[in-house]
Amino acid sequence: MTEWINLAWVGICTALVFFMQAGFALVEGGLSRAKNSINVIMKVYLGACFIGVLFWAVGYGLAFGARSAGGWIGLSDFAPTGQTSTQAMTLLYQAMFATTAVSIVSGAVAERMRYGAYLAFACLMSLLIYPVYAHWAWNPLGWLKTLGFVDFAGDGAVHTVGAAAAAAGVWVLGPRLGRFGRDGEVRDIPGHNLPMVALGGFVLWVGWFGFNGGSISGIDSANLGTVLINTHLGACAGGLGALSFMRLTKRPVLLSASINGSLCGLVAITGGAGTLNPATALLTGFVGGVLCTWGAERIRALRLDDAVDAIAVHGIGGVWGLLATGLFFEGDFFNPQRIGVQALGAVVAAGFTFAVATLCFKALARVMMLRAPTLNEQRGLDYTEHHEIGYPEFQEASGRLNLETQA
Amino acid sequence: MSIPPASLRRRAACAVLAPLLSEEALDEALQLQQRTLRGDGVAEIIAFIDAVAARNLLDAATRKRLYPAYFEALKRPEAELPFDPWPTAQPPAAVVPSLVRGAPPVPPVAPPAAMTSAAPVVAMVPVATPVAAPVPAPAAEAPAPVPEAPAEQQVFAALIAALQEGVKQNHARDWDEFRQRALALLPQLRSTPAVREVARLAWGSSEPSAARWLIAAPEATLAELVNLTYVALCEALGPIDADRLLTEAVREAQRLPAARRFSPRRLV
Repeated sequence: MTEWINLAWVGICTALVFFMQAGFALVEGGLSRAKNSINVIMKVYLGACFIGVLFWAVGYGLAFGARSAGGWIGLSDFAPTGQTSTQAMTLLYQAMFATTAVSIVSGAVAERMRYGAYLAFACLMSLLIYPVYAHWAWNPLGWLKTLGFVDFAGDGAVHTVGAAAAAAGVWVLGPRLGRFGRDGEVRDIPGHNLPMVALGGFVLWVGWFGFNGGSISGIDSANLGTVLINTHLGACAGGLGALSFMRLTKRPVLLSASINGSLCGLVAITGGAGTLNPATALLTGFVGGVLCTWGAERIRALRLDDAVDAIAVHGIGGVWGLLATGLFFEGDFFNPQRIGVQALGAVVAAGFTFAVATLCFKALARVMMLRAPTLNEQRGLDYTEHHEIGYPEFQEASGRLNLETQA
Repeated sequence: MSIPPASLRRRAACAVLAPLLSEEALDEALQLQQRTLRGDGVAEIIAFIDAVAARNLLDAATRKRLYPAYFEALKRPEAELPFDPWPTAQPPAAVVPSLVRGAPPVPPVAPPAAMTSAAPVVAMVPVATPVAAPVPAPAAEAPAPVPEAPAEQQVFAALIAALQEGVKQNHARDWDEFRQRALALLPQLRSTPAVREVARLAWGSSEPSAARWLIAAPEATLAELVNLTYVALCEALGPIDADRLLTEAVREAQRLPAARRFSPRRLV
């Protein structure tokens, strides 16, 4: 009976994690200009389709295959059929995580990366990057896992990996037209729909209960309540951390930064949701919110144009979350050896992913056009890539203007 | 070499009115000017602009903008004005009362050629579409039909001039940087050297002028020029202002009669 209840719980969590794709679509679509919103949402949507298939066919075997090549890569369980219900549910649940990791990239490179190139990268990432690191960190035979690395629900495997890939994309692609002035000034490119962003933030928050809640051993685990309260406190504290930073530094309290702060709190708590207590979860989320708000500005100052601050939210939050997991491990606070392993896992996630993702982007640039031409940036990627626009009744952007039938 | 005052006034009128009026309306305005405007006095200029505005249903804001624009055009260096559409002065056909009492009579000249001939640059471009170089003025009052610029060229000229005007009005501090960036982007234009040269000359002008942008080039080239201008706008002002200015410029260009034949949206 317990097994079936656990199965149902993981099924619910799977749906919740998949629902996070809607959150990503809302946040990223809302933070884009109207003329590019469909393009960003399409990347999330079709990305999910591609990754779903590829993860079943190849990614799951590479990440969680029962046979491992020395802890480096999985060698079995490709395109599995005839699994038990529990095994199939596990695969599905893990597929949601793979999809989440890749979706982080779509927002960062929004408004200038070509649709086809993004999908090609998403496929490469789901084959060459995500499953490899997931094997190291999560497979019982993975080399990081055997060192004692703790990554409860994917601070390293999902968030740090996603952010490092996003950073590579942002670096290779370059900024959107006019994002930075000649003297280095950062020009704001506000999103077209902040209520949509706020809704997306709430959707992601809800989804995170499945993200962390499904990562326990079962619904009968004594840990479930703690995991869920840690998750919630992390998000709350992240929002408060962002608020504190903005108030104390006399910056305006922005909705987008507040949402990103709470999301960073969620990211930060992901690594240690099962091994932190509520007080340290609160602290972890709060520091995450502060770091994210500060880091987003630092990243812009480096002239890296991350359209949705995904690198700050998932990268800074992810790395901090891994370290916090080592620092505040319940019953083993500040154990240097544990902290060292956590730091190693973070460095490996960022370094490995950034290097491979950069190679992937550069390789793709040689075989297909990676960046949309300036004409497409002018007209908007909705029209030029999809021949659809988000708001035909109202949109006066050049993309819409070009929909007229040619005389 | 000094320009005859009547010729200077025609060139100034072309510079400020061409973006707003159809070729027929500009033609009429030039004739009206020839008949009524005898000097550069403020009252005369206002009366002339008012008359043109009334005939062409121009709104009050546009009319108000035209007063100083016309006056400034009269003070511009010759090189920055479009060519005289009536290069050959005609003998007086009739003496028409001036708009302003007491002004000395001015000999009327022949009816003007189409507005497109106001743009000297057009003649430099070897294109299939015939855009008139200065046309010999026909005798008497019956204007000889002359080839007019294709609609897309008129619309393009108005669009770019409106973009430039938008920058000058709202971002005057960035005007020079905008032009410099546009000039720097010009080598990327996939067109003939002649077209690039025409565009370079047009960007060289410190004042927006639709007449300078009457470029005889195919639609694809004109669209590419709009795109280069947009890129320059983004670099100089940022993408948000660039989008806003482009949208406003399209609306402005849509007011042209030629826009009924060729929508400015096709260029963006």
